[in-house]
Amino acid sequence: MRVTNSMIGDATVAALQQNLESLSQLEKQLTTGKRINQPSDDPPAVEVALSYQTSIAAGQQYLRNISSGTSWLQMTDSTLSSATSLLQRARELAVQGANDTLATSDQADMASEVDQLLQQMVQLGNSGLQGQRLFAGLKTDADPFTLNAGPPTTVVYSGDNGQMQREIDTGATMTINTPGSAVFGPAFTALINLRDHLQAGDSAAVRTNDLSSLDAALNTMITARATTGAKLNRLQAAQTQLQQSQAQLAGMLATVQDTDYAAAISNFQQQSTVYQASLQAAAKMLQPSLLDYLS
Amino acid sequence: MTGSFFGLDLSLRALQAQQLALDVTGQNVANSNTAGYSRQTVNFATTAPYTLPGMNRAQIAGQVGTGVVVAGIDRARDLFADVQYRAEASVQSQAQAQSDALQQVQTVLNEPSSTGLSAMLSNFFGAWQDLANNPSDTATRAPLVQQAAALASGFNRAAQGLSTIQQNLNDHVKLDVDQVNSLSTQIAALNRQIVQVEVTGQRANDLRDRRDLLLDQVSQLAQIQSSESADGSVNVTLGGHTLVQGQSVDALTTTATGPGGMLDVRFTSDNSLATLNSGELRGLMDARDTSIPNYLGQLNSIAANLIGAVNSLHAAGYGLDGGTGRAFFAGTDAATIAVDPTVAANPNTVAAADAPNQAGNNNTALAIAQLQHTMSPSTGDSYNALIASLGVDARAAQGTLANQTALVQLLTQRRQTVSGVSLDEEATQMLRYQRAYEAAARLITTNDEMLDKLINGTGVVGR
Repeated sequence: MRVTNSMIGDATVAALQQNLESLSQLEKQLTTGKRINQPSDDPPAVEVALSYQTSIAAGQQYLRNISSGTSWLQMTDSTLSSATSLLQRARELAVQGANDTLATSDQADMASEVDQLLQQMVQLGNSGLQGQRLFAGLKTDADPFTLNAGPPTTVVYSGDNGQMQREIDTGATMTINTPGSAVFGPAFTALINLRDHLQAGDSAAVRTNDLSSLDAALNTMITARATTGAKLNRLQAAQTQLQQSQAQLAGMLATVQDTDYAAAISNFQQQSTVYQASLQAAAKMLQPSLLDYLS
Repeated sequence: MTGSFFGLDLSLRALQAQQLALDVTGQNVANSNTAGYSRQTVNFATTAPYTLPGMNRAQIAGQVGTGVVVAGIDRARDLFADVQYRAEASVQSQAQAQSDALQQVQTVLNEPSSTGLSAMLSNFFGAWQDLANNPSDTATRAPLVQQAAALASGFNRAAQGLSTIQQNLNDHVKLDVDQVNSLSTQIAALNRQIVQVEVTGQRANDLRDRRDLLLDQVSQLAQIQSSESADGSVNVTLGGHTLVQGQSVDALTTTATGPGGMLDVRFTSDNSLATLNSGELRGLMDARDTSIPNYLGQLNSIAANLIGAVNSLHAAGYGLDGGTGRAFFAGTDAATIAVDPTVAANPNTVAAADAPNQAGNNNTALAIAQLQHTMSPSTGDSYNALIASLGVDARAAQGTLANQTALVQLLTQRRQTVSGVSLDEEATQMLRYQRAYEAAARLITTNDEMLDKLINGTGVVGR
């Protein structure tokens, strides 16, 4: 084949250009740390990477939802725990009050303590987290329990039975609130009756009715607390599972989109050697012609 | 018998021929880097020998040669390689235009990144989850409205970016058509000059080189066929329709009657649509009329589906102020999507609840947040599919371009093999012509000395 000087020139420029382009692609992989920097770099991998990124973002959101639900349930749990101790104190008073030999003044003192307990119980029923009432169903913006002194004394519930949901994983929701009327209602009735019976010195009624209704109210409270605890456990488990899958997804995302440094650096050095060799060859090749040797 | 001065005449012709050959070598060296230049070669021929046949010819040994003449100056050109080169250069330019346009689309959509639409969609749905976690808190509403506004303007920017690329491609079509017309006019002008030169029997080598270069350039813009007439002029057709006929040009025009009011390309004479088989124009128009509208259409339908799904849930929900029946998004597609002005002005109108007067009711917020995976196909999946198809298209265009570039390089080499100037070769020729010139000069000296002997050294016996 007849070879001309401009052919050598063109081919040299094209080859240098190609070598430099490969070098710059590897350089980009090394500096960005990413193997794919635009969709055309590896279309299937880009689609996979995007869907991993979406899953990771959703997972982070679920972890936030779980943390929000956990605060709510922990607050519910500690309130129910206080309400339980409060009922236990009322039961101790009821056991004493059931004794016929008690002086009337002692019974009156006990009645006023039970009245205190009642008021505390109403406060507990109205407790909230960041201004949202825990036991009001969905009407979280107002106190659900109102104590009417009477007589007869009543506690009115103005909340509802609405359920509050949190999404804790794709498509999995959990009810995190405890509507208050079923949980606190028996306690209020039992406390009001106990107070009134102690006030009236009716030890028999305390013995026959109030002890058992206090037990029933305590039972309701403990059951609600157990449910709350179970939910907290479930959230804990979901959180652990999510954290694991997040770590896994992050690893998979890295595999898909991150630069394999060992391979990239070795390729870069190889390519850089090729580029330098082509520069040297070009410098030697482009200079001479027959004219250099004619005198 | 030849005359006394026969040798001088012969030597003179040799001097003249070698000198002309040296000039041609000079032209080759001078144009060794000129685009489109074909190396020229000198075609030496013997002059008519002595004696010519006749009844009363001289009785000498013969015939005797009378010297050399330059019969012609040829240009080294492989016309078949030209045809191949132009066909492949058309396809290369088309692939280049397509690849450039898709590269711009990739830049506009900017994926994969932490700031692209994909991430914005995640942030948007996340903000609804945050609202669901705290439906009565006004502090979670403003961030939601901001994330929604960011998503909407992300869609707007993408749609705007694609439209801008489309408009730029359209402008480029106009420029290319002007360029085709300008090149065609130059070809027609060269046709006239070439015919004028060649009718005298000379070869218009340099003018032909210039015309071939123009044909190369037109080929990059649009695939053409060219054929040469007997008089040396070239006729050019584009998609079977005459573009240049001898010295006349049927110029191309653009009118805004293409798809979507874009420019299409027509011939002036009969207003017929130009058939663009390959070339940059075809690449530009394909990207403008097929690729970009495809991506824009997908983006619009993603935005429209999102608007529809969010709004229908939102309209059934209740804001903190008890209001209902409100849209969350305004607009109908990627270009027009925006947060509804009422919602944007007062985040408390965002409907988190599915019933009035329930501060803790988050059912609507949760349902909208869950659209992320309850919509079929989901917004994220549709968008990822768009990005993947863009990636596949761009990669295919890059592949075609790389193949075509290699092919064009190969054909360029093939043309250079024939037409390129080799400095080694020219140096050798230079030496050869110089030596021949020197020898011819020596011949004159020898003849001169012989004549001197004859004229001044003869008949002087006894002087």
